[in-house]
Amino acid sequence: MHGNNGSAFAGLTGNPANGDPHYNITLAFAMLVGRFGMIIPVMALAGSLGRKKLLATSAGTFPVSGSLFVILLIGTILLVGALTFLPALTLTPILEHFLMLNGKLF
Amino acid sequence: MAAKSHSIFDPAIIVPAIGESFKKLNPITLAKNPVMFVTEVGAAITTVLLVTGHGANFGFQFQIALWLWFTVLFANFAEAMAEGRGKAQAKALRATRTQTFANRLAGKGIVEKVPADQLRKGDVVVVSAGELIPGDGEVIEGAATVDESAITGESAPVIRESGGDRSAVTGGTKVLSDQIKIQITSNPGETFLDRMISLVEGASRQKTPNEIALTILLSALTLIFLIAMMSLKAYGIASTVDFSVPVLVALLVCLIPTTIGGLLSAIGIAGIDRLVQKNVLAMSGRAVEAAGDVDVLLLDKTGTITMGNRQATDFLPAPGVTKQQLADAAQLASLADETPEGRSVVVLAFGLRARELSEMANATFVPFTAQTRMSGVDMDGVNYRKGSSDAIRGFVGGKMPGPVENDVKSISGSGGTPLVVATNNRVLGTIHLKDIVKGGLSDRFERFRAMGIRTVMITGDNPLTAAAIAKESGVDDFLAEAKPEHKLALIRKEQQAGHLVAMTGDGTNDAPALAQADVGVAMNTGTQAAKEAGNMVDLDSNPTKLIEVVEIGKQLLITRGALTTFSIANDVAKYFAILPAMLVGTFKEIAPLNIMFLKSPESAILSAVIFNAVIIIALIPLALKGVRFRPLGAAKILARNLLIYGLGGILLPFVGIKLIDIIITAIGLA
Repeated sequence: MHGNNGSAFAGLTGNPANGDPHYNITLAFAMLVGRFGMIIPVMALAGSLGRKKLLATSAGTFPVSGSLFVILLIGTILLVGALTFLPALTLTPILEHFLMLNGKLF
Repeated sequence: MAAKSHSIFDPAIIVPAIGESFKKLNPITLAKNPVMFVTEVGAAITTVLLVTGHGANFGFQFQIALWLWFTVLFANFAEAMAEGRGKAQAKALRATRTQTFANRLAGKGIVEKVPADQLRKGDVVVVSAGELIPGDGEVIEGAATVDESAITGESAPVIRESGGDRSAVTGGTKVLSDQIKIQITSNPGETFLDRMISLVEGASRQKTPNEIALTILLSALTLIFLIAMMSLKAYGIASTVDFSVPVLVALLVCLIPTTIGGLLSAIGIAGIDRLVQKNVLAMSGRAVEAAGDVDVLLLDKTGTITMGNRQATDFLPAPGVTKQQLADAAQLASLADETPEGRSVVVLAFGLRARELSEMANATFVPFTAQTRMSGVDMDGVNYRKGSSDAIRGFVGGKMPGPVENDVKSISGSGGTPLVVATNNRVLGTIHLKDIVKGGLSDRFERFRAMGIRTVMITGDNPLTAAAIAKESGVDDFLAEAKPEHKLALIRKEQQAGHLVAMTGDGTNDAPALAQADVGVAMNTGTQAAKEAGNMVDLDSNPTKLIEVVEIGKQLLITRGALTTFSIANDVAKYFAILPAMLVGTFKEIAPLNIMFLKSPESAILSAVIFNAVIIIALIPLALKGVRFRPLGAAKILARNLLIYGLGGILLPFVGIKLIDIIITAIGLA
């Protein structure tokens, strides 16, 4: 099991005895993309925002405090997050849930 | 002629727009719009699979392919409609300029006749009474009355003369009297109208900063969904579910924000169209957008907040004088006074005493001079005079009745201008001249305050007068004793503090400030320099219109935001339609997820795709007209639109998809 970081729960036989590095490599790749594939565009976004002119606030300014903004932000995160992962989730936990209700367990 | 608003359903615009929709299928031009480009690629893939005979259900796949193509066509149609409306308005404006011939000076007094479209910048033309002015230019010799109704809709002729602030002339307007020499200031194809026309036409239209930002966001969403679909295909292989490519493409197209992607450019063009309907030509889409973000308005007092000139509003007689006597003398003293102020005295007195000029055969008029600072008339041995209180005090020998002095002081104190009237050595009383604030302004300024926009009045008046007018009109702030360079300094100061500033101007000395402002609306009657410096031109030369320009800009930005929210919120229902349909073939246990009880997997997927295409068409009127605009603060507008376009955007597709499912099942399509 050494060399496997545990994220895989070893369910896929973490570090197989026959030396097939398939999951080690694909997991490493997935982690790299998952981290830096997000960080790079976010840094670019921050850089762009940092260069923007500071605007004075008024009643016409988009409010970034208070319950409305909280609802908007959480709503957007949930919506876009759900939209991104729902297809995969439907195929796995959601489907498994319905299968379980029909007495089918894995 | 005011540009008319075209009906959404005008066949003259719809028919060519249908043809344009097909032309816009060209992938090279469509690539500018990543969302629709992906849709087109998806439609092409589905079509290829259909033709090559991959796939089990031909009828179903054929319909999917068909509706994917419709999705692209509908988006193209929205853009073509907006362009068509813009072009129709521009064409109506441009119609005035065809078939014009110009008398060009070819040196040494030789005049040659050339078509107007052969004129070049710097050419000098002679235009006589009854002829059309062949192009935008500047009067370099002479003065003439010009009918500018073709451009402004205002029937009263205006005077255009060399030198000063009234020297600019516009192509297509007509000289009514006299002869002027005009130096052409722009090459054909570069006039304001041409620039405006090219702005609504596809060729030279550039994306505005806001559109670029939104396109990046929409492209990122598209990319995310593309990756999600590709991984779904892979998950399917792992779970022994074979997701067919047409179904995956259908799901992808339903999820990527095609609604806003398809309507984005139409919304932008429609904003420019709406300005043209108000007779304002924008020089860039960027200017329209900036207008929506403006939070400080600089308004010139004269012409914008007040009527052009001061007017007599009251007669205040001295002790022992009746109002009638004062009005009578004031009218006599003003008959020769051709200034608007003088005429307003005559008009006000007219209610009290009508008088014919023929009664005054033996009168000698005394015109106003800078030295005497009085004007009046000598008649039947009586000297009637009106003038400033100092001038009249000198005229009557230094003594002024106490009550008249008090009236003078109180009028000055209230921001008005007192004029004192005297006959021979007797002071008769005071005329109250005052700036007339235009009607309905304080309501509008109140609306602006609610939107978080501050209004600042700019005036050359002293602070006392300025304060009084500011109070009466309801502006938030004022700059008194202002010179043109003060305007520029004020704009810089506000911008430094993080504000976006809009202003109007017409004089050459306004040009630096117009160029500095985020939105500079130049008056069409203004000088060429002012028009070049600003980023909008108001053909009606009505400075109050700045207010409407800001509202149109705001409406544009809000429409874009509302439809983006709607587009993304729509996806929830599409998942509930498509995902169970994709799985139910292999795992029938997933059936409870089909919460809309759609008839079959095929009808569910098809309904979602049809809804996705049809909603674009359904929203074209909203994109072209803009969402209803209310003068509220950003937080209130946001809360309201989140409720309508966010929550509504989640719920509406459930109803829509179910309805389409019922219909296509009933007619046997799936």
